[in-house]
Amino acid sequence: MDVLMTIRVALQALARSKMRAALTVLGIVIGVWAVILLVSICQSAGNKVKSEVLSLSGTNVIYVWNNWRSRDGERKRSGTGLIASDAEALAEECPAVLAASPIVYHSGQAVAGDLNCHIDRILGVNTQYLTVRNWQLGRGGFFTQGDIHSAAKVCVIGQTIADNLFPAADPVGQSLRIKGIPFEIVGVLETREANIFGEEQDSIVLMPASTLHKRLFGWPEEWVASLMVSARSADRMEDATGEIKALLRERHRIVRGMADDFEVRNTSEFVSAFSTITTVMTILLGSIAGVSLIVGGIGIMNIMLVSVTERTREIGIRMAVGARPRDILRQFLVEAIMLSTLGGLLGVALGIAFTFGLTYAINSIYTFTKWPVIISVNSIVISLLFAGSVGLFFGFYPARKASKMDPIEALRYE
Amino acid sequence: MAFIQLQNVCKTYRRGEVEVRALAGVSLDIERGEYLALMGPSGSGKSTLMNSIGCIDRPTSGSYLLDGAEVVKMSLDERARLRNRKIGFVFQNFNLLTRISALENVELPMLYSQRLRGRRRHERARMLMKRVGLEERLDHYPSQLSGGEQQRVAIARALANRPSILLADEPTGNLDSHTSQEVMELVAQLNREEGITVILVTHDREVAERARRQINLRDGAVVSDSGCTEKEGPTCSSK
Ligand SMILES: Nc1ncnc2c1ncn2[C@@H]1O[C@H](COP(=O)(O)OP(=O)(O)OP(=O)(O)O)[C@@H](O)[C@H]1O
Ligand SMILES: [Mg+2]
Repeated sequence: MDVLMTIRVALQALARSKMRAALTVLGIVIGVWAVILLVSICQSAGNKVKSEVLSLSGTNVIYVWNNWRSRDGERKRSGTGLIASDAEALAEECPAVLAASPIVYHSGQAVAGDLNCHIDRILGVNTQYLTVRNWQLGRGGFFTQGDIHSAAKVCVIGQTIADNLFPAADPVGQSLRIKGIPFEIVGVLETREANIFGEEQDSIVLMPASTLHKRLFGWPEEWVASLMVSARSADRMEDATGEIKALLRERHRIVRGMADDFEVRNTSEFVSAFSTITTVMTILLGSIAGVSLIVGGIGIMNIMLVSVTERTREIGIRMAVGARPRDILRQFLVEAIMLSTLGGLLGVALGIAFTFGLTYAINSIYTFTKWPVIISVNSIVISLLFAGSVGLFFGFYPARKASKMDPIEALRYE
Repeated sequence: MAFIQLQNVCKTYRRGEVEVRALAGVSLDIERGEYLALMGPSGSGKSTLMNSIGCIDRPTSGSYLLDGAEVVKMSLDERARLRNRKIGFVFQNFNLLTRISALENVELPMLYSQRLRGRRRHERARMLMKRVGLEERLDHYPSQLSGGEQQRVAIARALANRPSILLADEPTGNLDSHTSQEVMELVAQLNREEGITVILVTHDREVAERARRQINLRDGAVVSDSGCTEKEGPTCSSK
């Protein structure tokens, strides 16, 4: 009997007991459903985080932090710590570095006229900050090198601050007060989406690091908490990291053999660490779901055994009119494979539906995040193949049993 | 050489300690085109002999040459092929597949021979249904047919691959005498007009008398043979 005919006969056999077929493949349906759903959710989580990290910082960003302690926790004596001018030096002297900015953190309350609002982040930076973060100005300009030198009382504000303090007017040219000190607003940043943690990006005020130091902190020093550096391209991250380390050691006069007084991390490391986590999660959840596929396979074997016994007489008749053992084997094997593959297809459909549903639910509960729907084609192909193989594997024993029947005995079976 | 040549065919069943000799050395020559009735008391081995001739069962010992080929030594696949191409079987209880239509039942042997496909297979099945007078019942399921009709579907199925032998094990056993007559008329016609070798098992004298040769079995051995030999051929009279 040819393959098409065998498939038709198998479908007819399944169609005769739809309810039983449906219950039999439930395990497979659930298994495939779980694989598709879990893998898709894992992957879209991974992608979301990755794209967040990249949009948060621009692509090729490297962070440099002060690290005052050695491994054993003892305070280091060597090194001078990060200072604002390290950033300019990195941008000028390291060929693989595109731009670098110091970062000084603060937060507080801003007042303009009779309006006031909380500022999540007041950052002291330099003129290269926007380049590093791949951020654009929405209106106005940015402060200049001259402003940095003179620690001028100027700032650039995020959209939220603009909306809160200047709901009607153009904020550029106006001023706001922080700790009673007035700062002239020279520009407004383009608005940015909230990040994956739901943190708003637009509640921000940027000013020269020197201004933040002198006017708000009242320090003469130019120590900074960290530097944010961007490499010229993704493939030059390694070069840039090396150059940064070498230049900072030299500038901080760290003698050979002594540890760095800073730490360098880049986003690609973070992204790849995160990718590893999501890959591990995907594999882990995928294999848990795979176990339910195997359980589903056992269900198929069980029902196929029952079916072979029930259809003993049919097997005898088919043999009497000329079916070879291999024809019978193929008939039952194809039936088992059809069963599991149909279950797989149903599982794929449900998995896709649930992925959309769940994503929709997440996005409507956490409105700040726009979680993407990613249906993993790989997981569909793999789980269908796996479901088919489960049918093949667990269908083989019952099918073989059917093909080994003796036609006389089978014909006599009541 | 005879078309069917059985030599000292034995079939022994073992049930634990007990041995049952269903066939105790049957030797028999049957020619092409013969019409032969097997008779004998219940348990005498008629069905066992039929199943052996039909390549469904394999003798424990002895030799069975079908058209010159030794069946006893054949593989399962070779015997399946013989059942499919050369032999048509008709059973007392019809043995139709109940979940498919009459027409599909008739097509069944053709699915395994793959000589005819698609439309041509349907056409042949339809032609056979017409041959047995059931052209109006193509799409009926076996449960929707009378016993006589079911047996005629079974005969049409047996004829699907143009077999040279038609084996019928008590084909009228489940039919009333009128229907029985009709079915036997059909069988006789096939033997007469198409030269198909017919071997049938029956308890019914009347049915047996239609055949040109009668063989009686007892305890697995031939006790009488109306003796239609090679030389006399199919012209041999039935008495
Ligand atoms: N599978 C089997 N196992 C054991 N013994 C068997 C088996 N099949 C048949 N026999 C025995 O072989 C003998 C012949 O059986 P067979 O079916 O050939 O008889 P029969 O002549 O067809 O009888 P009936 O007219 O009742 O159909 C019987 O004694 C039967 O009990
Ligand atoms: Mg019998």
